[in-house]
Parts: sequence; C-alpha cells; structure tokens
Amino acid sequence: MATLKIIQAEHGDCFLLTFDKNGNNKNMLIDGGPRGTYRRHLKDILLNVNSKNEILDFVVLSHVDSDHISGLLDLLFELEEQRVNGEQEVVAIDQIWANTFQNTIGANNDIVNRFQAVMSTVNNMESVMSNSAIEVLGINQGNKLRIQALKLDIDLNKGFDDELISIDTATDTLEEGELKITMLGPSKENLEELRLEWMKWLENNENAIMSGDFDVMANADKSKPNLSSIMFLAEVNGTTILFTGDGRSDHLYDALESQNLLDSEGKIHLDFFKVPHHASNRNTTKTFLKKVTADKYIISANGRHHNPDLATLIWLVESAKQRNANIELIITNETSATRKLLEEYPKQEYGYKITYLEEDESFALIEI
Amino acid sequence: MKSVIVYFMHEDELSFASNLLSDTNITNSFIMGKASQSDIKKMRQKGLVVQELEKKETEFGLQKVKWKHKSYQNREISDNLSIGAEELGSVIMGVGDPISHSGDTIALATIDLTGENYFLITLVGPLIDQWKKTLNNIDVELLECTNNFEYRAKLSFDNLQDLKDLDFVNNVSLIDQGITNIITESALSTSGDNRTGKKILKFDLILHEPSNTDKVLDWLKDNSIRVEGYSRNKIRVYLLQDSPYITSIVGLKEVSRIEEYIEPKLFNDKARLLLNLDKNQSSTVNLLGYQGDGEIIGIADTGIDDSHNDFKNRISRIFSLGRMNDYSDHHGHGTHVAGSVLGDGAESGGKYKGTAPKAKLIFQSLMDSRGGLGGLPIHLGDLFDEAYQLGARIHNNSWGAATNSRYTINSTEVDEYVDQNRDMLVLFAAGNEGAAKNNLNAAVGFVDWLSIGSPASSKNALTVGASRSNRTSGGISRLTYGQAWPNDFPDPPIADEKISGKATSIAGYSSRGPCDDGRIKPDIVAPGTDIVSTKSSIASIGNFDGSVRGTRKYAFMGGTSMACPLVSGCAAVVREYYRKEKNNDTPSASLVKATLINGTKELQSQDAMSPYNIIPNFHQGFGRVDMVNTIPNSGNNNLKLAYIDNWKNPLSHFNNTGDRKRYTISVGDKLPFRVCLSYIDLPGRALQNNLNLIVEYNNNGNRIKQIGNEAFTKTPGNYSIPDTKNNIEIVRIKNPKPGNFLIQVFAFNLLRGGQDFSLVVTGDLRSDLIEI
Repeated sequence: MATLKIIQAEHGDCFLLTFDKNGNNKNMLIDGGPRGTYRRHLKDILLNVNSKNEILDFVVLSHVDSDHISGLLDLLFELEEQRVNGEQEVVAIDQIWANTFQNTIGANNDIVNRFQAVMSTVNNMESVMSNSAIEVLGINQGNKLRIQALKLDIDLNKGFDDELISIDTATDTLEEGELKITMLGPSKENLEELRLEWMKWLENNENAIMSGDFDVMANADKSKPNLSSIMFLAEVNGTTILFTGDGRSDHLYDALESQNLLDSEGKIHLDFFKVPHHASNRNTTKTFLKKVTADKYIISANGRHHNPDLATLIWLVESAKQRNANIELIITNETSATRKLLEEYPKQEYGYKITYLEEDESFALIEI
Repeated sequence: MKSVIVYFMHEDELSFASNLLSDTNITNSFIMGKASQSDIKKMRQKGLVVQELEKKETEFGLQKVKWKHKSYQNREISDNLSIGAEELGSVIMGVGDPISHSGDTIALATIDLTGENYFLITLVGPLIDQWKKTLNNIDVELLECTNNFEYRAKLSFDNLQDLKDLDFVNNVSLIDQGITNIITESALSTSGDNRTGKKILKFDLILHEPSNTDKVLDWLKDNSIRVEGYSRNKIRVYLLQDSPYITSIVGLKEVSRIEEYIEPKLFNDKARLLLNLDKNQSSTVNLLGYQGDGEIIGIADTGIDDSHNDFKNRISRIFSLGRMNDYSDHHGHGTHVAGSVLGDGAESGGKYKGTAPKAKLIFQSLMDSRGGLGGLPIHLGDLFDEAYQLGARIHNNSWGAATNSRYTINSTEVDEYVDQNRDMLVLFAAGNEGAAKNNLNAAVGFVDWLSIGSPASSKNALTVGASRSNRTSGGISRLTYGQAWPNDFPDPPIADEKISGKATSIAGYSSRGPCDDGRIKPDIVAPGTDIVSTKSSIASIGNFDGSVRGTRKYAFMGGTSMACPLVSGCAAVVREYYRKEKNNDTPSASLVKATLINGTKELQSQDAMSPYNIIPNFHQGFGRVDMVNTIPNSGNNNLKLAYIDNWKNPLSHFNNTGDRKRYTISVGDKLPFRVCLSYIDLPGRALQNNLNLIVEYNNNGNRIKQIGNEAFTKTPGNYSIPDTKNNIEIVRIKNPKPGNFLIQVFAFNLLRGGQDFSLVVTGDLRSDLIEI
C-alpha cells in the first residue's frame, strides 16, 4: 500500500512518498524542511525506513531555500559523520534531484554581487535582515548539497542533460514501479523569465537606494522574486498528487497545458494538490485555483510570513463551493488565517473540512 | 654608446669600470655612465654586473613579463608605469588626451594652472643624491615613486621648463591632483548581462590631511551622498556606478585618492587546508624546541569559542568589534584559525595542534550580526594597533577582498602601519581566487595569475598562499578540483587532480601573483587543503569541510585562511628563537619574514612552477615554509644562522642612493648556502626605496657574483640585473665551495633616507657576519 507522509516542517516543506516496485517498498523524500525538522521529526522516520531494510531511492529538493533544504543538509552531514566514524548510517540514499541557483538563475557571479550590495545597503538602513545575502540566495547551501552528495557517493541529477532537472531535460514520463512522474517545472522559459525578474528587482532597488526611496528599500526583501522550483505530477496506481514546491501557478499552468494534462475547458482535477509556497497568495490566483482543483489540498505552513494566506484559503473554499465539491484542507499547523477562515466561511456552506497535524505528531499518514 | 649602470663590490672593479665609461656618476655601489658595446662586453668578462638602461626590452626575466589583467579590460600591460599610470586611470595631460573613466571624461577644468600641480617625472636612472639636490633647488618635490625611475612630483608651472631642461630627466607629464586608481572592480566585471541598472558601489576617499575631514563631510552632506563611516584621513561613501559625483570628488582639492572599496571576506569558503599540521610538521615543532612561548599573537577573525580546552589559560584578551559584547563563533572560521596558530591539542592528546602551542592570544571578533566582517574598522591601522598596544607582535588576518592583485587603499594602510611599527609582523591570507577558467595568461588547465587579494597585495605584510596537504582521506581530500568547483576548474590537468594528497603542489584556489606592479606574491605558502583544527562548539558542522573521526572538538576546513595561521605560529617560533638564542628581544617584522622565507622548501610540481620553472614565482612565491631548514635545531646539526637586523640602529641606515653595507662570512660545504634580504618599504604601490643584494664568492680565482632573485630577473643574454620589484631578495647556492663569501646590500634607489634592512644567512657557517 502506497503512503504519503506529510511531515511537520513548520514554515517549510517535507514529504515522504512510499510506493511499490516489484513487491518492494520504494521511498521518495521531497524536501527536508527548515532547521530542526531533521532532528525533531525526520530522523526517526528515516530510521524506521532503514529498519525495514529500505532506502531513500530518491531525494528531491524542490529548490534551494533554507525551509526546504536545511533538513536535507542536516541528514547529509550526519551521514558523513557516521561514515567517518564507521557507525551505522541513518539511512542509505540512492540519488538526489536538485537544481542550484547557479544552474538555474545565477549563472554568473554578477547577480550575486549586486544582490549582496543591495542587501548590505538595505541592512545598513537598519531594516531587518536575518540572513546574509549568500544564504538568502542559497548559494552556499546548494554547493554544500552538491559536495555532500559527492563525498557520500550519492548520484546527483543522474541522467538529466546538463545536470539540470527541468521539463526540457525530462521530456518523457519517468516510471519507477507503480510511480509515474510527469515533470512540470521549471522550463527553460520559466528560468529566463525569472532571471529577468531578478535583474529588474536589482535595478529597482539599486535605483531606490540611490534616490533614497525608503519605501522600496523597506520592501526589498519581501519583494524578491522566487527561485524556480521543481514541480511534478506523481501518479501512484491512478492516484494523482501534484508537488509544487514554492513554484508559481502561472508557470505550473503553462506546464500542465504543454504536457496535455488539461481538459477541453482548461481544467484538471487531482486527488492531492500540494498548494505552492505554503499557500502564499503571491504564488496562486483565484482563477488558477478554479481550474486546478483537487479533493484534498496539502498545505505545509505555520503562520510565518503570513502563510497560509487567508486569501488563498478563501479562493480554495470558494472554488469548492462553486463546483459543489467537498474538499479537505490538510494543514500542518493551525494559524490565525485558518481560524479566521473557519469563522468567516462556514464549513458546511462552503463544503470543506480542515485537518491539522496533532501537536505531538511528527507526520500525518495518507494512505493512497 | 649606451647608458649603463655597472655594479661593483671592490675598488679595483670601480677603477676598471671608470676607465671604460664616460659621463659618469659614481655612487658607493654602482657607477652610471656611457659605454660602447665592446666595453660592456669587457666589463662582463671581468665579472661585473652591467645593466643597460635605454632599451627596456633588454630587461626580460619574469619581472618584465607582460600579462593581461581583468581589471584593465584584458589589455596587455607591463610594469612600465608610464603606461601603468594611464592604465590605472590617472588623468594624464600634456602627453595625450585625457583618459576617460567608465566613459566619462574628467574635465580639464579641474586643474588650476596657476598653483602647484602634480606631474609624473621619469629620470634616466636611480635618484642619486646630486640629482635630488638639483630637483630640490628648483622646488620639485618628489612625492612617490611610481615605478623604478618614475615619480609623482609636485611643482609649479613656473619651474616646468627648468625641469625639462635637466639632462637626467627623461619625461615630464601633468597628472591630475595625484588621484590614481579609480578603477572599479565591479564596474568592469565581464558579465554577459544586458542591463541598464547601475550598481551601488562603496568608495574610499583619502584626504591629504585628516583636518580636511569636516569640510569634505559637509560637502558630501550638501550633495546628499551617503557616508558609511570615517577615520583619520579616510571617508567611506556610497555612490552609484558612473555617478557624476565621482568626477566632482576628484575635483576636490582635499581629496588625494578615491577608490572603490571591495568588501573583504573570509578566505576559507572554497576549500579546506592541510592543517593536520602534518604529522611531521608538528613533530618539527617539537624538534625545534620552540612553541611560541612568550609570544602574543593577534588574530582578527569571525569569533572564538574560548571554552575550547586547546586554548585554556592562553587567551589574554578578546575584543568584540562586530557585535556588541558578543564574540561567539557561530561560523567556526575564527576558532579554526586560532587552533592552527596556537591550539595545544589538549582535546586530542596532542594530535591536532597549532604551530605555536604555547603562545598567547589576543582575539578581535569581526563578525557582525548579518554574518559579514562589519567589525573591521574603517582604517586598518586601528585594528593592528589595538593588538599591538597589548603586546602582540604577530597579527593573523585570514580575510581580504577579491581585488585582482591591485594595490588598494587597504594595502597602503598595512604598509603604512608596519612602516610606523617596524616590529609588528602582519600576515595576510593570499585569497582563494585562484581559478583556471578563461585564462588570460596561463595555459589551459593551469591556474591563472593576478588573483591576489587585498590587503594581501601590500609590500610589508607576509602574504601566505596555500599548498596542498598530503591527506589522502578525510575532509574533501578525495574530490577533484573539477568536482568541487566545476566553474573554476573546468579543464584538466587541474580539473582531475585531487584537492589534497600531492604536497608539492599548490591548492588550485590559492590566489596567484603577481601584484599588478609585477611584485612577487604570495611570499610563501603553507598547507591549506583539508586542515584539521579546533571546532567551535556552536558552529554547524555544515560550515566545515568534514567531521573528524572520533571527535566533535575538531573539524576539517581549507583555504589560504588555514595556511596563514600555520605560518603565524611559525613566526612566533622564529621570534622565540631570536629572543632566546640571539638575545634579540625586538626582532623586526622584516627579520622574521626574511628568516621564514630564507628557509623554504621549493615546490617542484608542474602546477607550482608553470610555465617558467623558476623560484621565486607567482604560484608559491619563495616556497613552502620548512622549519627544519629555517632555524638551527637538533635535527639539522650543521645548520647555523647569522643575521643583521638594524632597525634600532639609525647610524647603520641607508641615507643616499648608492649606500652599501658589505659583510664577509666563512662558509663550509655541508649544507646549501642561503641569503635573504628583506626590508620594510614606505607605503606606495611600487618600491619607494629599492635595496638590492649581491653575493660574491671565489671560484678558482674568479669572482662569481650572484644577484638577489637572480632567476626572476634574468635577461635573454643570461645576464641578471638587480630586482626592481621586490623588497625581498634571495640568493641560494646549492653546493657552496668552502671559503669566504662576500655579501653586499646596497641602496639602488632611495626616495627617502633612513632605510633599514634585515639580512638572514644560513648554511654550514664557520663564522659570523663580519662587516667590512
């Protein structure tokens, strides 16, 4: 029986998909959550995988961002320490899929340098910046992941052209036992578009700093474009799950279209839909959520950065009401937005229910 | 007839040369004049060192190699400063059109033709006393030597014709107020991005006088230019790339120099060194019997875990410069560096320890709350002085800015500080900017030149590059350079070489020389890949290159950051040696530098030599630290050391061009004979005072002369000429014939008097140095 574990990752993402191949369990870990996720939740889950003589056949990093990669790095560092000391390793890993900032957006150092210049200036203006620029861009973390994979002899992006995971380098559906994967992002077009957005952002902020436009500067961090996420449709025995990382709905919609997954009305209905970017309203639109629908929506968030956004939740339940559907929102943490939704949008009227992870639970188990 | 300089060491050589030369100027160590080609030949046959002056192309050797430099739009430049000043962005007029900066031409109107102005003057030879007096008489003030015989000078137009009429003046051209070097590193970056946006850059303004600060600050305020900070005669501001204000600032009389400020960074981020202070290296320390006892070492770095037992009771003082009352080390870099200097291995049964495990520490925590090095003061002199005032005489700096071998304001500040505090040895990591991609100078698959950081490019610091450790496991030693940094090392052979293992090779990422004036850097290398040292308990293991088996108190790291502290500890050992064995309680920085450089092992791997096959070179400088051959020790019984260190004795300083000191020493044949001259120069991009070294010995009645850095200065006719680039010179004679050796140190070209020097001699010595 295939399962999906939705792991408590606070403001990040962390999922474990288990499926069958020739009578053996295969495991795919998707993201590792922020710092703390590994130690508090993920490690025990992986020890359990190991105890059944199973391995992580795939580890997918949606994108290099600390709330998705940190748990993976913590795992890889612990594996190295155990290997150095000749100790039993938590779990074996066969291969990793991950794109870095460099091989997607920042192919040259100039973007990095300019970003750092902007951030250090903004920081001097005493606005709040918790991370140094290089960490925000995830450049160090991306490199560390790659180096750790090399040191631990784990294959990285094996079989993909240019060692880039994208629609253009994974044109065929990938099959592994009962799992079928259709790649939905990023595409080369998406990457180019994102790169231009970064340039534009740098320009705006540089000009704002020189002209003393404090409003723009104060929003520098919040207004940053996203990084590209690996997005894909997983099908296990006919059950569909859409994994979206922190991806953008317009890119996702284009990809669904180009992969011929939309019906004649431009719609698709899924069994499970991992709502992008912790249900931030910057990544989805009302229209998109009317066209891309599901029975169950998975939202990994804890209120940080105002995620999930109330607006997104409202769009979801309005979409359900409109099509007379009953949906389930599986949300990892109760937040002010979820409470507000329940207050203002009665469950019965809108046809939804919310399931939270219990406070002391490391994961919610979904049977597929 | 050709203009020549003939160097002599004996009276009979002087008289021989005088007879053949016409129009002579005679100093105490060389004679300038004109000679025919056949007379030049005669003098050379006699064993004299003859330098032909007019034809620059006759000077080859490494010091005349032309190279391409990224900061100068990949144009080929040489060290010839009449080109250099232009390339550096000076506004030169009178000889040609104004030079433009980033597309903007600086207005000629900024020059006031009535008062005193700044000129570039080229003389026909070194500045002899007589010429100095002549220039003085017509009110020409020489401010700075820009290269060899070229000077930046101040004079009024009234005296211009008198100056041009002097027969020893080759060329005069007007420059702007003396502002050079507003090349902006980032402005010239060769990215393929098509963008219209402009970058914000930081600029440092240097004022002629600290008392001008208020006036300039007011001007900046009036023009709404944001000031980051100021100290002494320096102000740091934000400006947009290509801002018209750059031109306005150039026009301010109070400003003497403006330059883009590149943020310094840690020099570990690329690799991990070979710090397991190699097993033989730590046993070397034991062999020597010195462990830095009585020495205080200053380290400016991220932060420090002062609870680590390897430092127990040896931390004298910690300054929190980056965060208020917080010197903790979340990063791990600072604690790792400190362990390489003076960790005593308490947590590892002595297995992992630094090179000076009995030294004391003054730590300056630089890391700010956003993870940058915000604790660095605006003026670097303030950093060194804080430690110096508490007794530190060695200062380790495993950080710097990636400035493509340029001599920056920060480099100038290091030179200035050491010039004013001559017993403070300041060490800098060379940088981790070494790469073998888009090479401008090196062959495919070999690391390119001109990547020294700053202040590592300063003259008076000891700049440390990274050689490879001999580790074959642990850390990232088993990865190749191509695997770890595919962008920097795309092509074999370097792409396929393991990061560590081959100890006669240089770390791929170790920044390469020369400096952009052709000076040799790094000075020295030490292991800098996959180094084990102390780990801060609060730093994530992810900040390191790997875990160490059986312990969480140590971890792997690499970089020139890790090589530098190994040498700092060795410097403490050298100081201890002079104090205890030579009764010298105040060895100068240049003596310690000369001692370490004199003892190096020359690394012979192709990547450490390519393509010239000589040492010194731009990969390893003068070689890898090798303590067994540096100071006398029980493992090297024949090794003796003699030295001169005259900084405290003004009567023995050089005051005029041509001044010399001669020493004889009796030498046996059991060991190679080695000499190293090192001196502290005045601040300035090129040598301001140029001292040279000649060693002479007798071979079957013939006088054989060997010039300092001979291989480096060799000409096509196989004639060496004195080094005009470096304030460190070595002579190494592998198989000396027993007998007396004559060593001459002389002032080839002095801008200012009062020049001291340090001379270190090692080998199978049978006498001390005797001055004659």
